[in-house]
Amino acid sequence: MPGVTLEARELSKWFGSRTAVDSVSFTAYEGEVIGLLGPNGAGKTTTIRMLSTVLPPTGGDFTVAGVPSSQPAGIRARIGVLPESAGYPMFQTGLEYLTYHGRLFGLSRDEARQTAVRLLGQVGLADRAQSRIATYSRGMRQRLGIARALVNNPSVVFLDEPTLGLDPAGQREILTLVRMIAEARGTTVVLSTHTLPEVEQVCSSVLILNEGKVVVSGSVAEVTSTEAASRQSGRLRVPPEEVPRAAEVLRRLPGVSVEVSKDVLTVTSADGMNSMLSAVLDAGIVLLSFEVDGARLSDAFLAMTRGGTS
Amino acid sequence: MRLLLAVLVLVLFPATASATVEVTMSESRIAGAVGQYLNISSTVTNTGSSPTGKLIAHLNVASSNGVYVDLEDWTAAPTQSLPALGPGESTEVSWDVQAVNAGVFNVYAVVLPDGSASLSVSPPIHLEVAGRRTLSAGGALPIALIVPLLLGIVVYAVRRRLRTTT
Amino acid sequence: MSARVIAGQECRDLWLSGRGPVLTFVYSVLLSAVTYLAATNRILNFLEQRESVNLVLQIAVAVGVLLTLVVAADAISGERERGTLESLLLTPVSRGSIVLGKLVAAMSLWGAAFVVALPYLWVLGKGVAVVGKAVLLALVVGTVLALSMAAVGLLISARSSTNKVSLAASLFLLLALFAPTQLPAMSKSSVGDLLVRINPVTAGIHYIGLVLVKGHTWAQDLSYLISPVVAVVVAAVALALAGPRIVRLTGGVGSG
Ligand SMILES: Nc1ncnc2c1ncn2[C@@H]1O[C@H](COP(=O)(O)OP(=O)(O)OP(=O)(O)O)[C@@H](O)[C@H]1O
Ligand SMILES: [Mg+2]
Repeated sequence: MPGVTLEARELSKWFGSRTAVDSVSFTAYEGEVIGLLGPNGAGKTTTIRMLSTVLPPTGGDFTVAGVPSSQPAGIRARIGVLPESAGYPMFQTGLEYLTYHGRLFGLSRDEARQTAVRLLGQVGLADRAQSRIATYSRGMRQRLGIARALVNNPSVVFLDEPTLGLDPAGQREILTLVRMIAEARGTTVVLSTHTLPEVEQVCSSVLILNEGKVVVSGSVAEVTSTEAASRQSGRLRVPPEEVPRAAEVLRRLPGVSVEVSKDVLTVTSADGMNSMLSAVLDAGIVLLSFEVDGARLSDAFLAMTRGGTS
Repeated sequence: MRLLLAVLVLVLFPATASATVEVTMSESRIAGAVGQYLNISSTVTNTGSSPTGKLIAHLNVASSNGVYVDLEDWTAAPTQSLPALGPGESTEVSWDVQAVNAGVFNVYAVVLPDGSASLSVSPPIHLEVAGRRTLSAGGALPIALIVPLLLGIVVYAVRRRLRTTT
Repeated sequence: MSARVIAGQECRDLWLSGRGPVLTFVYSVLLSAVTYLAATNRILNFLEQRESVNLVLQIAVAVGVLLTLVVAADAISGERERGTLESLLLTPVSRGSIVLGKLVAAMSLWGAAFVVALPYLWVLGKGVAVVGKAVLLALVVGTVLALSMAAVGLLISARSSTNKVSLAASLFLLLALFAPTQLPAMSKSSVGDLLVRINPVTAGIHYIGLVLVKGHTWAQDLSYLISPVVAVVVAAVALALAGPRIVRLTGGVGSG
């Protein structure tokens, strides 16, 4: 059993009368990559900010890398954070920036510089080390931010939407980096994101938040095998005059629910889309288009965060 | 008005009565230039055995070589009131005086007691005011040009460094 | 230790890539203009040389303090706005060190302003032998005022929800404090004198004038320096006490 690196107990945060995070509890282990999921405003950033001690919680406590929340400076020394939409000092070079932050974590001038050079190599910025950050692309800045989060060799790393605004290649680079961090360093990574395939690729477990509450948590396999997630849904389009007949054909199938809006039929079934498609085609109805909600995790995600399993 | 009164009183009652208040000046001679401010301070001491009433101290400037003196130009507040002094007590009073004209002057202070007691006059300060020292603009101009020029070069160098490291 | 690292980086940012050199340049142009006018203007009959020194010294102190305040007012709210504050807060460095480092960086601008003012004070003051007096007055009064304003600027910056608010509030405060120095002869009446003494800026400027122009001794009107000294002590204590608590991710009153 790997050691516990992160434990949150009943963590809450109110902004005035609005609840941003409501009694969130979870545990994370060494080398684990936790995906923090949830729609906009679910409280992901707020949770990360509380755990990284830049925002005091309204209630609850937590332990990070064995340090209790009552010692924020001790926690900060052991974590690395890529904040949501972080800014960078545009006139510093990547090397200056990382060296400066290394020094803020107590490294000597030489150590900080060596660490900076090594990290810039690891995130693929070695050739741009002496360029001003202003000249970096968005993806390069994100990688610089990740390098910054690693200057203190942290035991827990928080990445708040690290792939935001990146192209697929950029996203892949970041995810490779995340996997490397977790595997090579045995670091716990908490990854907040909206991109679900990303979670399936790199995360060992997920925590889905909605309106500040934990809706579901567990390994990716556990979460996707919940009942809601195993149901598959899709949308069929048929000629408008055929809509009533198609709905009737589909409703005859076992375990299928159908919702009709105009000429689109939204269907959900426990055993995949194939039987439904063949039933419609067998009835001689022209199928104009159909699409299936692909990833199974996203089903779980949507089902849980829309407040119900239909 | 007060000045006239003071002079009048001084003329009519020369220092005959036994003065119970003594006025001294901090200096006996000062040299300055036209336009310069001088701070003239004096000490007023009650040398008598009974307390004084409220006192009024008045500064006066008299020319020794016939230069016209308009006291209002020399100091904005020639007359100052002093607190009552007990026997043996003393107090400081000072005037800011601007030397308006060149020439040789005597500056002295008069203390007017409340009621019928006699005036006290300080020994005069011998004041020599030299003619106006004109400022050499020629000295200031090089500095006024060189300093911004040097800083401009610094700004340029820093900007250049920023532009060249991309 | 970490305050030194922060101060070092902040100073590099200010002087090597920031507004430091430009602000100092503009400041020197202003002093040049005033010095030249003061030295050549024969229309103003009574602009005696000491008064020229006094004029340049007052402007040097006022504008130097203004520049220091501008940098201080930007220090925290500016970082918040550029999104770089969170990274700084994420380091184990104490909030107090952050505040101290930024205070030092802001004060470096006053240091530069003081050094730039020296040649002007020298060229105007050398003829009437007041260079030493003028430099010492600038150093003492200017530093005390700059330090208190920098501390106040940092407090405002930490408290402001946006950088604009911070700059506007700081400039307004400075203007309100400096405006009375332009009123003629406030100290003639006892109420006016009290007002001059209470306001650290007018008190400091008035003291400069008394020593430099009116020929008063250093000790004669030392009481005018009470409010500047009180101001710097109060501002420094307030910054030391409140600074660590209000250096937060979000500004404004009453937010998380
Ligand atoms: N400083 C703040 N003041 C007031 N309310 C806030 C503040 N920060 C966050 N909130 C509120 O807290 C809730 C959670 O916000 P949070 O930023 O944690 O969401 P999120 O899950 O990160 O969303 P996103 O996916 O859009 O980044 C939201 O309702 C938000 O409006
Ligand atoms: Mg967020």
